[in-house]
Amino acid sequence: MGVYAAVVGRPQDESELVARARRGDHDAYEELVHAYQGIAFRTAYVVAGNAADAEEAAQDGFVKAYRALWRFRPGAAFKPWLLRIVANEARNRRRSAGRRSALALRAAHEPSGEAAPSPEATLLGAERRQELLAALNRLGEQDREAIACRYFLDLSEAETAAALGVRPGTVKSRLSRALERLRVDLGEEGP
Amino acid sequence: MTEHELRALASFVDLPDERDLAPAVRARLRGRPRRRRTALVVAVAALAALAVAFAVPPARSAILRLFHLQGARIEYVDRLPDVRTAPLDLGVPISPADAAGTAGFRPLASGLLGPPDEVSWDGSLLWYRYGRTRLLVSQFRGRERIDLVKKVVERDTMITPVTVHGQPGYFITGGTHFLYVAPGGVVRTEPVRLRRQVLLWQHGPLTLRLEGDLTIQRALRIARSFG
Repeated sequence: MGVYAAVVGRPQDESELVARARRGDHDAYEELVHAYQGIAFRTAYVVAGNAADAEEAAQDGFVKAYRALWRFRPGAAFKPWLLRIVANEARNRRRSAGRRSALALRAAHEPSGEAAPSPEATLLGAERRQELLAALNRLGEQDREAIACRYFLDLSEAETAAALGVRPGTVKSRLSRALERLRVDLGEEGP
Repeated sequence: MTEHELRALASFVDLPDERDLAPAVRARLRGRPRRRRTALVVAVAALAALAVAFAVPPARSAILRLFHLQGARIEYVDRLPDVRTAPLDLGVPISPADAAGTAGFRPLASGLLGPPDEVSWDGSLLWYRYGRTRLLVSQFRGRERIDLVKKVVERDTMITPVTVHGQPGYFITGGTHFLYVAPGGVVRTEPVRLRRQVLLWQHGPLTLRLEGDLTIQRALRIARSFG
């Protein structure tokens, strides 16, 4: 592939990078990969359930997205479009492996000595974290993915919808249902 | 249990560190078409789902690789679609003086080939025919079009990436190939023409296509003479 003389310089905005990538500019696409590889990998991890599959799924997702750029609607947001492709890759891997994904807590997170606890640790004690995550892992795949995308990966509703391959309205209802199930599981049903 | 608690839980969930995917992605994008049968089988299986989306009527072929230029897409397939061929239609003959006004862009001319013997406009592409050298050149504003030209090539065809005045292009040789011109989604075909090579390249906002009995060196010399 040739090199564009006119595009040497600072990174440009996303739509310009996408436009250049559509014209076959690998440098532009690499900038997009750098910009989104973190969220793509984490989304794949949430869906696939292990790091090796997530890495493969994210990589395959980026390659497939590049080859499908001709279908990408100019002016649309690249991130949800990409996440849909990556999440599909991750989902395929999870299905073919025939396993159920589960999330875990990071080890050794408690502050030592006199270090002040983080605001999150203040809000959520160790026992409560275990309890919440266990309940989360007892949810169905769809509910758990919706919660993980929305609250752990901090995706917007539209991005969550893209990653899950559903309409934004479905994300709302799925989250609402998942939260209710969590409350029931935790014995915190409303009056 | 509140949404605040779930957001707070995020910082305790074990999400692995980010991976640098760019080198692997770049290496895969730069990979050349695989020619071996065994490799083709693997590629067909991996891209089967993709092929459905890219189906070319009336037949479907697994797409092994895609090459993009502005406004142009080359599909590298395991077998050519079974299409009915039709005479090549270069549109309505126009005078060279009317070319810019009709096409809506300033067409490029070749200092090497001189003025074309015939100029025509088919509504999307401006065509130059050079009778003596039996060359055919088309050009269009590729930057503003999405996949106006779609070329489908089979696995016996070699696609060589080239650079013309710093911009990308592809030299296509061997086998047979089709050109699909699809403004507004209308698919047209041209007959298979053997012993003809094609160079597709970008020049500013334009995408050009040169066809003839050409070596890659001669095709590049001609392409670089357009300005």
